[in-house]
Amino acid sequence: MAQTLLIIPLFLGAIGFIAFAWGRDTAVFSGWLGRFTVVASAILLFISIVMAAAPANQYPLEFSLNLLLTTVDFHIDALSLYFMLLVNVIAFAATWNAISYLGDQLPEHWVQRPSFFHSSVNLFHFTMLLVPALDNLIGVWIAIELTTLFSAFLVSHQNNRESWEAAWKYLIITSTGIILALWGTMFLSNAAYAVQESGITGNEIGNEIMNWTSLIRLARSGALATEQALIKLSFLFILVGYGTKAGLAPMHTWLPDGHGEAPAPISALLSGVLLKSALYVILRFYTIANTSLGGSTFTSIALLVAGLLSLLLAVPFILKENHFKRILAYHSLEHMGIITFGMGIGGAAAMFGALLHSLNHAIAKALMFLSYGNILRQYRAAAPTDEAFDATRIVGVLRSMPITGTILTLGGLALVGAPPFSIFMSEFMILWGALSSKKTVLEPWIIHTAVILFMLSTTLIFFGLVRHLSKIVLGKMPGEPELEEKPMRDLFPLILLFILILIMGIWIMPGLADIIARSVAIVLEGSQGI
Amino acid sequence: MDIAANFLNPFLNPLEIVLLVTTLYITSLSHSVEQVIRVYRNQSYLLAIVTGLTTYFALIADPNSKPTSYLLIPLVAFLPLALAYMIKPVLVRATVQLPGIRFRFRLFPTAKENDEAERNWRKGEQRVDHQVRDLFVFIVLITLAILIAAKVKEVMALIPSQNPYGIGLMVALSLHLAGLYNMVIKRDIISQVVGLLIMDHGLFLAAVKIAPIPVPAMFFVVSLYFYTLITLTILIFLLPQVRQHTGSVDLDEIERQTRLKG
Repeated sequence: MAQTLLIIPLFLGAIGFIAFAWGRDTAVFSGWLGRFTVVASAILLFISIVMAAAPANQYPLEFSLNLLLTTVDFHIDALSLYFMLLVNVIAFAATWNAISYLGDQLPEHWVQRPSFFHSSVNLFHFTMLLVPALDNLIGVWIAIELTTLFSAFLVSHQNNRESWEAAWKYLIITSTGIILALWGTMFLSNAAYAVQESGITGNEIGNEIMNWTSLIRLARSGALATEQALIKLSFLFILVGYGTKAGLAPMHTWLPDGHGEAPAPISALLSGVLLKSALYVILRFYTIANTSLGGSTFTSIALLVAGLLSLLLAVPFILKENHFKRILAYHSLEHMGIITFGMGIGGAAAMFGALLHSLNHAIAKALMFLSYGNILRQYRAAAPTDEAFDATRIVGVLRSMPITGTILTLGGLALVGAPPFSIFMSEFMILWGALSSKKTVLEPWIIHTAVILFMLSTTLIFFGLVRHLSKIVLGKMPGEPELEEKPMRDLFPLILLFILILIMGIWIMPGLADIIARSVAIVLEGSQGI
Repeated sequence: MDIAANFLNPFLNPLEIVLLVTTLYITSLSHSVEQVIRVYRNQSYLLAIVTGLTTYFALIADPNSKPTSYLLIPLVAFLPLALAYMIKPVLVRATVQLPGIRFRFRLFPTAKENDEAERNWRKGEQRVDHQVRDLFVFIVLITLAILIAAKVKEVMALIPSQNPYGIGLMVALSLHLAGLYNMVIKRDIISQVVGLLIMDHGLFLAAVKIAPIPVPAMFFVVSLYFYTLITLTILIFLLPQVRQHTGSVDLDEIERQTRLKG
């Protein structure tokens, strides 16, 4: 079943790409490809739910694939499954919305390449599922780099000056970051080699030396503790390197451009899933570093600083006047900061909150991007002659598109952490984890200062987003265009995401709580069998 | 170590120093894009020799190395050679504005596009901006790389056969920092591409200096193949579009016109 998760998007992506490259990119073909993509995403979501609901003793799943030069090892445990589930939830909503995005009438200068779009989405989906499935950390690095390949052209899909410029920034900044991540991985390989050479481990690890499972075994045996300085150096490089891809400050500068200029379904995937894929890799390295370093505060402090910096840096950009999609992108910076903050606090409660927040943020942000994308397209369609359409002029959405407007308003409130929505629940858990932090390694004064900064920035951000949102949903546009609400078919993914936000605000489903709890145990203890 | 290795070993460090000198030339002293391409290509050939030799010395010193492990030598050396071959097509694509281009899968530019790019490069040949600043920064970066490498060497088990005199790590770090400097400070797309390619050189060198040979260095080298392929693919198809839509390679100019601010 796990293999199916990877094969389906790879197959659809390959078919679409071949058709595009051979010039068979007809409207009929791309229409079918789009529909198949949605059906495939639904099947993948179903499979990942079934896998997540399976008894814990069935995991980890391990299998290998023989390629020309080497064997690629896969390791799927609860943490991998949780992130696969997250990817598939958002991919389902985004691919559904993509049909509507491509179907809407777009300005003439937007070059439509539907087959290329669908195949890139499928391959992007495949790479994001590949990241949590791989055991080899160098393989994970390649998979993260592949996400750049398939998403860079999706960012530029609107084929205008701003979208190409955004794609360029995205490529250059994330490529620089990914180089640093490989340096970090090399330092870790050197530490493992030194341990192996010294004979501390007792047994040869061999070709699997860069597998997460081998490294965590070394760390748990205490062998890597002899290479503390190198482990710390490696973790710093990893945090900065993958942190760039995760959109953490100060390497976040690609984020507002990339998310702001990409089509709405792609922004949902980038913000909801891609950032989390990079975060997943940081979590894997965090476990190795933390287990190797014992009771050291090093990883916690590093994550806490990165998290708070991201939170604080997001504040002025959310408070100032800006395009709403860029505001949403800065919100991703804020929320990645919150998740990293939770990871930095450590302890089971905060880590549970951080992992839950990853899913909650992904759902809320996808909802916001998709609903705002629908609004933007309707307003743009109502002014077809307006070449320089200014999105900042959009006001009064609650009146012109009542259902989408209501969803956008409630989604916005969910995003800033208002009760009774899901983000409130996970933010509360992180704070509760911080304030009842007997099990964390940090000094109380550090935690209290961090909590004060956290509260201050989230409060300011709350007011910032509510101000922007009220402008869009309330008020009256001069010469208000005649707009129609999107059909129910297009509203379905938005309603589905909104229901999830609402339910998860008051109730964490037992199956979900179980898989997060197992993931927390893996992250904090490096346990492999659960 | 065999006779060949004993003979070649003393050449490794001077070659690594020459790598530094070529980086200095590219980032600080070159007057034109054509000079940058020429020197970058020479740096790539040198790097192919350095990485190949490093791998060879490590395999010779390892009593457990298998004959198949020697395949790693051409595998490692091919990477910089590939970049040497690709740098010009990539930079041409960053320079030439192709009329009416929509979205084409064409790997190499035509002779006409090459000529046009060279003409454009020659126009800017006399512009030698901030040479003293660049030279000063380069020296600072080298010093920084030496300090970092010294610190890293304290905590790291540098593998003796891969680092006979231990300066390879410093050179790799210098290439990385110089590439980063080129990307961040110089405000044009060509410098950013060259910076990224210099950083790639630093990464190739680091792979054979830090990661133990043959395993896991082999994994790293395979991953670098993927990385190079991905980077070149994106650059080749993205650059003409960026050039087409922005009408400039000057990032300051692009940013002046853009609404992607804040």
